[in-house]
Amino acid sequence: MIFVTVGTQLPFDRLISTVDDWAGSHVNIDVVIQSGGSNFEPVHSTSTGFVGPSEWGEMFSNADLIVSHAGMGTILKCLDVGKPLIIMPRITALGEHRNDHQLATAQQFMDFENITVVQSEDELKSALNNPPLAKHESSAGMPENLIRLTTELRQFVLEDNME
Amino acid sequence: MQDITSKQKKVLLVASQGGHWVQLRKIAVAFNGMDIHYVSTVQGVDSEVAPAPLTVVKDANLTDKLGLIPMALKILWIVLRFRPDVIVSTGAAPGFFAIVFGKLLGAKTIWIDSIANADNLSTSGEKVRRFSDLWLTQWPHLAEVDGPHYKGGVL
Repeated sequence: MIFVTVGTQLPFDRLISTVDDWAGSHVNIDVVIQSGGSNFEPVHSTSTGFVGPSEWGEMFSNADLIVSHAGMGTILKCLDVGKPLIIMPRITALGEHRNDHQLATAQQFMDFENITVVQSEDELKSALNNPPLAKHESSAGMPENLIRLTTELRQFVLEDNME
Repeated sequence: MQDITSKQKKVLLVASQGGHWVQLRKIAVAFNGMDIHYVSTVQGVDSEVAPAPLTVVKDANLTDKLGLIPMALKILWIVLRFRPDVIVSTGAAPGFFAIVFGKLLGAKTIWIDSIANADNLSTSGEKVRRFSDLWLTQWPHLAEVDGPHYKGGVL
């Protein structure tokens, strides 16, 4: 199953219509779309506007491949479990976001082995035909940067008591 | 990680939905053993944070300026009632308000800009600067001598 998710704030018709079009020529593959506020009505996929965190989590776990806007929540969850992810960043010039930070975000994740970053509809379709692979070796424990950050935060909170 | 000092600290952890929330949850381990209260814009994460209490506020952003007013008032109410020693946010709008009100009421404030902002700091991140005791980016290349500082990140 492919799970497509575009967050809760803004429509992303370019992504959804492209995946739905692709699903039309791959009828043996289940595609489930969490479409947010998108206007496009998928015809070849199962679609739901908004879902709660637990339902979202269930769809995420059941999926073999995630297709997403460059939303940090989805990216972090895919990295946690090594799940294959195709990212298409929203572009401000096309009215898809308030600013172009998703382009910068996507740029930072291009070298991860379970992630493919696409810019155009054509690139998205070829990524769907040739998706990234799961990353199997589990990165046990917390990343070094997160250990550093949480240690620094704890120290900062506990130093020079304000009482 | 529990000790008497940490038990006394009241920590308000604030984030809106999506990546902001996921990042806040990843750093929450820093405050283990403290008295934690969460604020989010997501419904349905109560069980995820339990036994810590959670207050949900309606989401708003700069394209919905009118929605920012009730959000600000609700955050002010939460800060007045909980009286946190520390306020921590990973963004966006609700964290901005929590840090501003928290600072004015004497709390220690920590802003951690979302790792999504790899090219420049977020709008809320820029605006919250003078209210933040600790003002962090998660990208070393965005760090500057006067802040934002880099002290690690969620990845």
